Amino acid sequence: MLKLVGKGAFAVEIFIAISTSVIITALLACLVYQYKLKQQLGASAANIMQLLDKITHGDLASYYPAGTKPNSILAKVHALNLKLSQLQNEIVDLSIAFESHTENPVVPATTLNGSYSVIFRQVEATLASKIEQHKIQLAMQCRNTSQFITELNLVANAIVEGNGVVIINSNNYQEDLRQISELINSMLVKLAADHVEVIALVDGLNHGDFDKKVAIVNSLDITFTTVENSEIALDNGLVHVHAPIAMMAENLQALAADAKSICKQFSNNKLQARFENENYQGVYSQIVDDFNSTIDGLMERNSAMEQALTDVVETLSAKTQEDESKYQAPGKNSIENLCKSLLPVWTGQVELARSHMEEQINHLILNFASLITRLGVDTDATSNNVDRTISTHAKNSSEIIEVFNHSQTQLQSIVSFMSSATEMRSQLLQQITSLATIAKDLKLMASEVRSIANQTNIVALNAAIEAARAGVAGREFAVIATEVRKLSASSGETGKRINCKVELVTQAIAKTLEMSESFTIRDAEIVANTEAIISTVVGQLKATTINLGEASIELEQENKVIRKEIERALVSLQFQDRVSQMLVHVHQDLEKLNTQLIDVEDDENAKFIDVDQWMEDLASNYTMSEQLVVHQGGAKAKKMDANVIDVTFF
Amino acid sequence: MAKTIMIVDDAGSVRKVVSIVLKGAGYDVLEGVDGEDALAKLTGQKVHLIISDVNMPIMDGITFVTELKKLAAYKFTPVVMLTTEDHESKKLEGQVAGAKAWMVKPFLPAQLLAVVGKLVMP
Repeated sequence: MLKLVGKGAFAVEIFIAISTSVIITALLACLVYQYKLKQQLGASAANIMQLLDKITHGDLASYYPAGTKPNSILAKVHALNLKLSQLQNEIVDLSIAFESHTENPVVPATTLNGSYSVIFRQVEATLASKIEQHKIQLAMQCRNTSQFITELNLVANAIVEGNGVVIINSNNYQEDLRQISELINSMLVKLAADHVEVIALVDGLNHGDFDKKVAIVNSLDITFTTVENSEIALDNGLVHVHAPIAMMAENLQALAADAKSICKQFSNNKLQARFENENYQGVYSQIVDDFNSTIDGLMERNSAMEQALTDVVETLSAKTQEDESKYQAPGKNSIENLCKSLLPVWTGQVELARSHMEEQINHLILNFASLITRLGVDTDATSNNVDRTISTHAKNSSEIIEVFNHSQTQLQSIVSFMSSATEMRSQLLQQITSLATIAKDLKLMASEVRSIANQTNIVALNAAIEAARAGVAGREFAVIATEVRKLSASSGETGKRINCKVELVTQAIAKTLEMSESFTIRDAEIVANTEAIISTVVGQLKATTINLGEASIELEQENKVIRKEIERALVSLQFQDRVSQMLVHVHQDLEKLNTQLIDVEDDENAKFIDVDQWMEDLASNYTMSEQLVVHQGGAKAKKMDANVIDVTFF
Repeated sequence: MAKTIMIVDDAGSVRKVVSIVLKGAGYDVLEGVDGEDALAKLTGQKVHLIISDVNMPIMDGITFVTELKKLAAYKFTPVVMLTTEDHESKKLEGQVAGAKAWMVKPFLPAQLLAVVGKLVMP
């Protein structure tokens, strides 16, 4: 006994129900086909009956102008031939249709699986085998009929060509056809004999003398009578032919009626229906037997399936009761309950995505607003500040130029001071040069004084020597004394000149000292002026440098703030990917639900859904833990913090 | 000569952000929109690091890394998985496939550069 437990039991029940309906549909399709086939055979039989009826009861006399009776019979045979050809075509079409049906089974192999698939395949194989047998029998019938018609054609042609009697070979036919062919053969033999006799009489009329012609005419009366008798006999014979054909038609009609009844019973799920084959003969009996044995096989399979189904239903029933008592919610797996479970989750996901989007977009707006504001402060780049920006730039530029011009002027005054100092130093050099010349003269004069002193010394020495030796001769001493006075005078003059020069030197030195004092004072003034100018210029440059430094620091700080804001903006932009994935998951599930709702319209079974499985499938698609939190606990999930980096190194 | 880093992600915003950050730090950047596209663009040229998303259409990031490691030219190229996925089981899949690090979006540029600096080939 098959036991199924767990959530799949319900699905198995659905599967078995579907499998059963598919099998019954396949059986019905086979039976309907057979029913149609038999109807067509019945119609063909009816056609034959009508044709024979016409032959039997037609107004033969109207076709019998003088000497044309045999031809009118041939015309009838031709008509029969045409009708039989049509019958042949119908049977060939039926055969093709049957083959087409066999090659295209009702149930595709891909729709079934599991143990019921095996059962169904066995049933299907049995059906295919039976259908194959029926197909062979039908083909035999077609061949027999076809041969019969071919032979009838030969007979008709032989009669037309005047070749006498052609016997239909009845060995290959079933009993009914054989009887028909024998009857037709006997009729043909008689007609052929009549035909020969008529030809001989006509020939006699054409070529004989009067008495002989009268005799022939009399004979012709007898012959016509004979022919009429033959026609009557043919009629009677055809009545005999009519009987088995009528029987066949009745059998076919009964078979069709039975098949219809069986189909009806199948539609009411009663597989017990069978053909009662006592009313059928020949091939029909075989068809009925085959069909009945197929039904028996199906009933056996059906019993096995019913047993398996009973087991499954019992298991499912127990499982359903268990589930209902567990969840206390009958109809838990309904689409309404699915929607009740899904919608809060979807709402949570969408709300999370929306709040992410809102928060991050607000962040972006604030970031960019901050950027724009800061850029405006730095460059006055806003449109209403453009004029002010230009004037500020111009003012700043002119101030710098003025500072440079002023600096240049002040530096030029320094240069001027320095030039005057250089000139004064040049004058001092000239004074010193003149002092050098005076010094040279003094040196020469000193030399001369030394020379005079030497000479005076020598003279004094000589005078002393002479005075000592002559004593009396002192008069020469007077000469020496004169010379000494001269030398003394010369020395005095030299001293005078020296004094004069020394005075000049003194004056020059005094002047030099005066000039030096003047230079010292002026140099001090120059230094003082220079110091003041340099101090001013340096002060200005220092102030400018400090301003530039402060501006540079401000710019750097602004750059750092802007960079940080841009980095935050870049992080915010990445949330688009997270939000996008959440919305994609919700979108896919909404589409899935939509498809399910559409299926419900076509198939009532689609109403029953495994909600737990559905929710599990949805959860398995999540990529972020916050999605899972929302899935499990509502919309209070902790949002992703962009400042907390999550990196794992392997 | 600048080092080359490839970013593989189906999200254009992420590719753009990563590209801006890396180019700002002096790297050359290649871009791929999914695993298949990235493999098609890796034609033997020297790539010093690959940053890849996990959930992508056509070929996902785990399959991409597995296929990448079969190529002789990129067998030792370090791969950083950059993804919204934070399940431990997925991280394990990435590790088994041959990734060197698992980084969860979103990221700060400085943090990305720190990870890149740590793993990029000399």
